[in-house]
Amino acid sequence: MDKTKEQNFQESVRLKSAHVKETASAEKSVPAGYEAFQEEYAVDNDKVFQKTQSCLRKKHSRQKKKASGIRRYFRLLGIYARMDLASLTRDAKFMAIVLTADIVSNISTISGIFLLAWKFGGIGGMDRFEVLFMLAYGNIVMGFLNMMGGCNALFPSRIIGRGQWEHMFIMPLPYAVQLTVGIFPFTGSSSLISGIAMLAMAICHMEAALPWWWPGMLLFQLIVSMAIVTAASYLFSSLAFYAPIQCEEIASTVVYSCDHAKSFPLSGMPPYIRCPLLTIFPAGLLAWFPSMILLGKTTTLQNFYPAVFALFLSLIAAYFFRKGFRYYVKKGINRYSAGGHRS
Amino acid sequence: MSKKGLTDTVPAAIAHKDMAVIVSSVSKSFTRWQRKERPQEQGASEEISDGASRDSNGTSRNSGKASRDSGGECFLQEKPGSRQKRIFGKGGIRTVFGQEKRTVTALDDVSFQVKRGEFVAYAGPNGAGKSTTMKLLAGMLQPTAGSVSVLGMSPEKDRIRLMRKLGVLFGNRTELWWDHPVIQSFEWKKVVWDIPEAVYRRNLGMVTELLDIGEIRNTFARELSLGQRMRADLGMMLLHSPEVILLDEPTLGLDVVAKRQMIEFLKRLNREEGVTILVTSHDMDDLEEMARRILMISRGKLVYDGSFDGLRDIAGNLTHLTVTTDGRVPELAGCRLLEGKNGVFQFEVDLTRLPIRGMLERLSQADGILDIEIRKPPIEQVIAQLYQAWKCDAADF
Ligand SMILES: Nc1ncnc2c1ncn2[C@@H]1O[C@H](COP(=O)(O)OP(=O)(O)OP(=O)(O)O)[C@@H](O)[C@H]1O
Ligand SMILES: [Mg+2]
Repeated sequence: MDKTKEQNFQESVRLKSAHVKETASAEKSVPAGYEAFQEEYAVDNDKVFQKTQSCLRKKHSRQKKKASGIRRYFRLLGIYARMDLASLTRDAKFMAIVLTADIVSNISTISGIFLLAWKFGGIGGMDRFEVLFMLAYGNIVMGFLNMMGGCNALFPSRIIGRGQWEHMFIMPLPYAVQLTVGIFPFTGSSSLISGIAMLAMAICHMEAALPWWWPGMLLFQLIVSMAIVTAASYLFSSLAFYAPIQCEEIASTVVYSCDHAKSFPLSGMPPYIRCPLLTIFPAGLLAWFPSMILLGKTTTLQNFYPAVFALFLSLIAAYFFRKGFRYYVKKGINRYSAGGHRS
Repeated sequence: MSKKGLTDTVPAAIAHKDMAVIVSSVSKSFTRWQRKERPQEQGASEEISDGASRDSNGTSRNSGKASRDSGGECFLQEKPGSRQKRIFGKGGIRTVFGQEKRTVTALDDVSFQVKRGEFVAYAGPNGAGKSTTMKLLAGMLQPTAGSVSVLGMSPEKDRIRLMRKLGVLFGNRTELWWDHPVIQSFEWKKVVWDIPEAVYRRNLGMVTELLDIGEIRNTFARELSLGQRMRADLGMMLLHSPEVILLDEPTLGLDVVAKRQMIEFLKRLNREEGVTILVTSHDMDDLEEMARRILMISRGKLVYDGSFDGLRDIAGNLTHLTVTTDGRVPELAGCRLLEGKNGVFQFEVDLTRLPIRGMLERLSQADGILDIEIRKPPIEQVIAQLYQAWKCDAADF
């Protein structure tokens, strides 16, 4: 590029940016030197103006769309929450039964392990409150997923096996949104609430001071653990596209077996038990391993393992689920069970 | 209606704009496992021999060749082989338990178009492929071949955009929330479909009044009777002012009053709001009352597209004459006596051979006539005749 051309080029950039600014304030005045520039480069003034305007309009509408999309998402969460509250408060007796059953089931799932830890002053290198932390972590993971599972989002094999996907086809929402907005904040959050309370108790009793980034790390590990359960559930649920009747409950089998196995502290266990529980049957990644990371008992390399595993499993699950879904819309399962309605 | 004529005169893009539904050369086949018909089950004495087997009608057919059974489905056969070879070879277990995989052609090269604002009946015998077509239009299934477009959109690719304008109702299932009052399902729909408040209020008022939902609005869906549930479902489907409505047997289980109410409502919706409606039903009288055009499908093939009177023409268009006498049998040459009891005689007349004037003359000459009634052939009877004829055709394959 020779000197004069370079100068002209810079001038054109300056002019264009000036033009964008002008149009942003919706004033179409021509800056000094603009005509000369236009003559030399034969730039169509109006074209540039219109293009800029349309770009700005598009950007503006994109922003607006995004904002309204977020608002809409919250409205959707709101209607499901309202429906959940309505069903809980329908009848005082019903409400009392639901809440009591939830509390009893929560206490029973963790009490055995916690009492053992209390009796022996900890399990396999984890002290009492570290065990409590692990149990709390596991409860939060499963509690949050249960709360989000109002539309069987955690158990897609049920949706497929009962023919409920036929309801989803006709809703003007992306499937991902349909699956994630069905929350049960009132009838399905007891495990989450108890988990948070237990976590607070465990943190209060921890001796080491926690670094500033620790809450972020906690959140990240929680998301990773949830992704692992969800991915495992979706991976196995993709079988339901091929065998809807036989596999209707496969997701619940996978999720509940992980849920039950997650509460055992694996510290001190031999590798032949630990390894399968961290790979093919990843229950150890739902509470124990992330707790070890958060308690600073792992190496830096090990810290990345759950996230890498979650990514890997999610990609495989997405691949097979999509494949199954394509099979489903091609073949149709022609099954609409008695429980296929929205409930 | 000629599809060709339409695209001949109007450029395709414009023609498509005016079309609510375009189904072009759509085929849909399913695979399914089923028990193999064994020779002894068919009453035949011989074993399945190599190279040839028997179909369900007992007629011999060659292996590996596509063939149709009496149900009208297109089946592909298993490869031949000796019994022993089959048991120990590939798919052996299948042979032991007598299972075979079959390909069912539910739709075979079906093409039709529905203009905006049309009210079209879609009829055919059981298993003809009506629900399959509805599912294809609603994006619940994808065609094996051909293409489907609703309001210029592909149900597969533009699902979200299309569903804002499409209403779908399958009589055998409900879109209502089972464990909530009907009005809760309506409110849920308002949020999910993002229906503006004013539109929602207007439509809610309209369906409440015209479908008589007022009383059941606050009842739980699981506590509704079948007919009440259908009304509530129809009301819910209309809340977002759909431009095209697909109804698969919507009158299933409705009592006479509810059925009339629904028919009147749908007609009004089509007339006043210009909503395009495609409806299937096995009640031909209902269909004739609602729709002007009827598409008939049999064994996956579109066999008729036209008016109801056109169907009567195909079936011979024999007018029905009921003559009440004092007991004497009227002598009416040119009229075929179908039945006669207690002085009421049913005749069938071909008015193209015996004009109405001639028939009336003969009637005036007959003795003891107290009353007469002349009717078009009942559509139910016409359709039954056609179904029988198609079934016979199938057996000839
Ligand atoms: N998912 C499926 N898998 C296998 N076969 C199927 C499937 N869905 C439909 N069929 C077959 O396709 C054919 C057409 O079925 P469809 O449900 O469309 O009939 P229909 O016209 O709606 O009948 P009806 O009047 O009884 O409702 C039938 O032979 C049926 O057995
Ligand atoms: Mg059907």
